[in-house]
Amino acid sequence: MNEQIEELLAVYVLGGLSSKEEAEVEAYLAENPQAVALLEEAYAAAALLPYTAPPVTPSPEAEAALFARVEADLAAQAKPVKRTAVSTPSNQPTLWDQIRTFFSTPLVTAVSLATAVLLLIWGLSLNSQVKNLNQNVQQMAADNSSLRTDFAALSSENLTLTARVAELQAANQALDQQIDDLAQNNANLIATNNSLQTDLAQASADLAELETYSANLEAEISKIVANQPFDSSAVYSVTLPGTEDQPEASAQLVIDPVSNTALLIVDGMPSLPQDSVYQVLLIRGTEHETAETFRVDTQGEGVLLVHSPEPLQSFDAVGVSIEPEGGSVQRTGDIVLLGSIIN
Amino acid sequence: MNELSDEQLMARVINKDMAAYKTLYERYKRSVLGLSYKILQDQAAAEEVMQETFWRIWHNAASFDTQRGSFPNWMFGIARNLSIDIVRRGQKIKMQALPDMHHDHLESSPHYEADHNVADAALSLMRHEQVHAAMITLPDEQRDVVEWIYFQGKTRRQIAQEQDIPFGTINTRAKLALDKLKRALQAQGFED
Repeated sequence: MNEQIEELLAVYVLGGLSSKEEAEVEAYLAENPQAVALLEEAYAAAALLPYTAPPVTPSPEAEAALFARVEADLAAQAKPVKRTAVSTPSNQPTLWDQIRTFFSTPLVTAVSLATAVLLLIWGLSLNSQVKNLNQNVQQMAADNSSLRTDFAALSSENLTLTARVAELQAANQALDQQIDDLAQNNANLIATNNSLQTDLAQASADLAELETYSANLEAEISKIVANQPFDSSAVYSVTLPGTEDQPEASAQLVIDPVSNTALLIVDGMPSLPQDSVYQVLLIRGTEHETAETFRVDTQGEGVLLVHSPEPLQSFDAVGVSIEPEGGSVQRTGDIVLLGSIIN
Repeated sequence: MNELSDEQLMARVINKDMAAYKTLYERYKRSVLGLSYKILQDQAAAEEVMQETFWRIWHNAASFDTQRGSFPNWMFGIARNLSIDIVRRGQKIKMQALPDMHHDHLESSPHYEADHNVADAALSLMRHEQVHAAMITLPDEQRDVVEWIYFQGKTRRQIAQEQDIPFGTINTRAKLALDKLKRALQAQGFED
């Protein structure tokens, strides 16, 4: 026993030796039959190795090609039958004999076989195509089912989104209405503000007029104080009641006979339009003289210093009439205050 | 026809019995293509090897000698030699993954299931599962030696150079791997 050689048996059956080494092993085996048992054991184990590879199914195309080749080989080995020609009495071949002879020729036989092989290949190819088409149909059916599922899910989602859009549109309309209301309120506030501004301007104008009036009064009082009127024991006062035209009106007339000056203090007289004023009348008999004009404040009160070029006591009575702006030389309006000047 | 042994079927194939040939083809086509694909890792090339292997079984049936080994040994030998020749010639093989449907699983698509010989497909798968289970019990260094030699077509000299392993170690690992594989399969009651 050559242990060195026998150690190579496993590698030998696996196919891992060089050609020279294989020859050495085979020569040894030829001369040592007892080593063949070891070899067979190794072969038995190695024979299992192909099964460690996962089995794989050949494609239909590969199978078709293999069997086309085998069928062609099988057909080619079929031997044509030799026929002996039989002479007819006329010694001429019949039409049937001619046809049979024609199809018995090697060329026609070969062509027929080749045609058969081609038809077989074509048939196998068609079969393969049909299988592929069936597979495609199954795949398309699966795809279709999947698409239907997707479509149903999308439809449901679309309904949900549509409902949500409707909710948002309703909310949007409510917000639009609120915005309109706020805009209207704002416009009202602006109008109110404008009106208040106007009122404020009017009040400011009125205030300015009152201030002017107050200033005039103060000036008149200052003049009176400067002239020291009414500084006499002869000073006296009379009351001028309102006439039928202004029964609520009344006045006190303080008369200084020395300076021929009188101070008229009125009350309860209504304010007049801008184009009218009150004017003092100095009445003597049926005649009269017109004197200073004046206006009253919003309380119906007023104060006026009356001057007369003639002695006041020379007149019979004092009155107040309503005249156009600027006063009149002769009375034109109604008399609203009237009283005697005599104490 | 399915009840006949491989050797009985081959006796008929020698006489150009197409039915016997198809029975053998259905019985082993998946394993042969699986072996070729494992070596070549290319679908088209593996299918060419499968076709050529079965063509030689048909065409050279008379050269099969039962005295020199079993039919699977002879058949797988043809397939492996053709595949290793391609690898050793250094042909550039375009790497191409097999479609999943071509792998033999019993839950494969209805189209293929209907077209298959289910019993043969199941038997191929069971053999693979058993041998694979036994194979993974081998120590890595022993399994590597088997992979390098049998499935990658490397010689002992190439392995020694590439892996820096002494010849004797390679011999020992190869022998131990085959012994252990056989014992593991015998323990499972495996029948080839």
